Amino acid sequence: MRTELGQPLAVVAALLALLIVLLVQSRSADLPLGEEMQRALLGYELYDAELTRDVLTARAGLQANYESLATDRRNLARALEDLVSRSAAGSLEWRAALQRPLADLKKAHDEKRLSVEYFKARNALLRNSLMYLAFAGPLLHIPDEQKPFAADLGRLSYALLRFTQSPDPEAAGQMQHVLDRLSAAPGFRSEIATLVAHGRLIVTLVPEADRLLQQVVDAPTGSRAEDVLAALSQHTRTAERRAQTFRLLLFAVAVLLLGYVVYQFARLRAGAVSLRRVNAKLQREMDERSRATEALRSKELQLIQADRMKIVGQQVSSIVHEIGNPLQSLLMNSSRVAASCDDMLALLQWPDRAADDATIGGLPYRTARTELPQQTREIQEAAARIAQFVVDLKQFYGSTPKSAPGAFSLNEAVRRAERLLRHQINQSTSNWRMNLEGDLPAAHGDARRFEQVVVNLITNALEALPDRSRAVSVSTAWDATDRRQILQVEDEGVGIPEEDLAHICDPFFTTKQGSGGTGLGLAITTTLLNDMGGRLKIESQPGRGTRATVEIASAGESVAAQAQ
Amino acid sequence: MKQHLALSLLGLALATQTAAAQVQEPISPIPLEVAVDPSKADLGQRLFEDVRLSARSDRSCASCHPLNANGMDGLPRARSYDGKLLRNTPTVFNVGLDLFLNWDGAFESVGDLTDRAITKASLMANTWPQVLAALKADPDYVARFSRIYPTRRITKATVLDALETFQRSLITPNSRFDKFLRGDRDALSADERRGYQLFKSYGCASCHQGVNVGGNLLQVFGVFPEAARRELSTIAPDPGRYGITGDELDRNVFRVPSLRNVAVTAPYFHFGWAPTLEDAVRTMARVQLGRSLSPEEVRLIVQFLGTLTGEFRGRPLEPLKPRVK
Repeated sequence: MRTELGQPLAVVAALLALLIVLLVQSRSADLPLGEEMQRALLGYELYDAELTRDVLTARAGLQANYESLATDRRNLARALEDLVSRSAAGSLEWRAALQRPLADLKKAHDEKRLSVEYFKARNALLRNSLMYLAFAGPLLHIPDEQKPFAADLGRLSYALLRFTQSPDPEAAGQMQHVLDRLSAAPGFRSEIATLVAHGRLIVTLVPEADRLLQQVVDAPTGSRAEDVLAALSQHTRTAERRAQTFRLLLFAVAVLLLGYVVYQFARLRAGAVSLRRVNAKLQREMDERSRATEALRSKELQLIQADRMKIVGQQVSSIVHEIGNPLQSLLMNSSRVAASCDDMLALLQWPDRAADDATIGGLPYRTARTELPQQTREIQEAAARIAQFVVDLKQFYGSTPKSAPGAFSLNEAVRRAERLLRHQINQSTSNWRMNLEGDLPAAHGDARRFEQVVVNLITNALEALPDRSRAVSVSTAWDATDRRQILQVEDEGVGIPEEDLAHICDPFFTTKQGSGGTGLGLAITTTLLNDMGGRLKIESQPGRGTRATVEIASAGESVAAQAQ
Repeated sequence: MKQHLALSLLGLALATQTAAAQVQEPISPIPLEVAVDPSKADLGQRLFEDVRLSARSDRSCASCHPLNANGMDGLPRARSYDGKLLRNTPTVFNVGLDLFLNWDGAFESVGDLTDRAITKASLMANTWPQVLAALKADPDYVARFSRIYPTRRITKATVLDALETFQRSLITPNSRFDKFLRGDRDALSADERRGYQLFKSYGCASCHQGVNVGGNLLQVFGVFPEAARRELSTIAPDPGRYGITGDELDRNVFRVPSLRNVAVTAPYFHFGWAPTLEDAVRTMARVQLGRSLSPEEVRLIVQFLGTLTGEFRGRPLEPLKPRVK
């Protein structure tokens, strides 16, 4: 049970987990990060451009100090740090994509910073020396005896003007030449020496400062930043494509999940249906079993009943025996008394007078003469009824020997019973019908007993009729399917109440107590039929009539059945 | 006359390059205030003066940078934690206005420098786990950090932030020179103004410029090598920035130090061999500018430099009294 429930749950959980993973993947956190990175890069490029601009203006002497360059340096450092931290914030692919171009940018950045610092140092010295020549030079007091220097100083000013305008080697050579002349002159003064030293410094510093300036201007920070930007857009495109793929996968898995749920739902429904079916089957089996138990119990009850009946039968046979002898004497003597009575009354042809006073056995003669024969006949009839009851009892409780089963003609048995009951039939109904199947095989059983069965059934039918107009019909038939012979006795009598129907075959059950029914007729019939392997079925509709159906095997069939 | 004419022409030629520099002064005044969180600065000051930052709990930042002694120890060379001699201790005042920190410009951020000072064997020789454990054991620190910082925790980052915030707050505005720059022409005497003119025209301001009158530039010590060799013959050699970059271009390169409060932060130079400002000015003129200044020029320039002394927490800084051994 657990695995049956666990497996779909695990599958659904796995699919849901997959959905979440795909959802996270399809969001691509790098995309908003990319926009921030782009802005940060633009900021960096702006600061970088400011730095280049400020270096150029510093070289041109347009910066009073290096504070703006210091600010640029701080801004750039912060901007680069910002870029690096942003590049570390993204996915693995993001970091991989940006690592190389950012490292390149940082390298260019550091080189440029270095160039800027060296430039600043050179530029400060250059400005210092230029300042000296510009402000200190004119203050030099040149005595008359050193007039030759004055011409050289004039040359120096022109050479410097040319050199600062165009610091090519020729101009540098010219500067150098003038400075050499100044320093080589006799009577060299320390102030001139300082002038020369600064002049020489200018000659070396200008190309150096310009070379560093060129390095700053040529620094590939801008193009490296563009490389980062390119890598960024490349990654963004890849990430967007990847996110697109994951969105598609997300959709596919969602469909899969839906399908799986629907499938499980269908399975559940199918399971419920089959469960209901199994349940119904189980219910049927239980019903069957309880019916079987019921049948078994009724069988047991029947066995108990049969056992009782056997005991009763034994007692009955002794009772019958006890009754039999007196009854024989009663029957015999009563008929003799009756005959004697007639004879004696014939002899007693007493005169009317005498007859009026004479009494016989306490009765006035006249009364005795008419009633005595009547009373003796009643004795005879009562004895006969007792005798009949005793015969019935004997028959029911098996005191009659079982005859060996043989073959007989069903139709013949019916016709004999009809002949036997002709008188009673005529008295009971004006609507007697008989419909016998023409060509029946021999039935299996005892002809005489079967004849009694037929007699019993017809008697019952006749006795059920409320008046003579009602019909009784007897028919025989051949059931080819079950290979059995059928006898039906139908009447349009009063019918049997439903509550009685189950008991009508029980011994001593009778609805005709008043009219002298013993309650043994159908019981005997059932017993007789059972002995022959036949079956009796009684259907009835109260007020409409009753139909008794007897099934009995054909002679050959039964043998065949027994052989099996 | 002729030679004067020639040099005037030379001056004219150069004026085209220097004209712009005349429009604006090379030095700008210190802002009167810095925007820092006062509660962080307070916390930072407590940390700054806390000896538990050092390995043996016997030295704080303030040990070498006492606020009541112009933010430095006044020694020619600082004594290291393990007893060796280091370079001269620069003042902590206006440190937030410097671009480069330390004599060799090894740092550009006060936080980085502070981190190094706490962990460097020669300074405080501590480790961060030990520092943080010591601070966390103090309920006052725990309460203050948790009140001030959104992370509410004592970490290396929050400790350094508090220390840096405090150090950035240590400015000395309102020097007489700054008042002069802000338009008060009478803030400087005539001599001081002449000294400033010399300072600019002799080229000192080429390097000592900006808000901190230095601190934003790296420069070779000894532009005139022969003069430098003469000056430094008795001084222990120091390769300067070369020591950290290993680049020949950086040999003898040092940060141009700030001249703010220079008159009250003697002695001078990286090994503190110049006991007076006059000595320092003369040396600088010879070594960097290639000229010998007259005593009058030195006096004027020193006069000017004296106007760079500012106020700390509303009170003008004063020269240190000689240290009692």
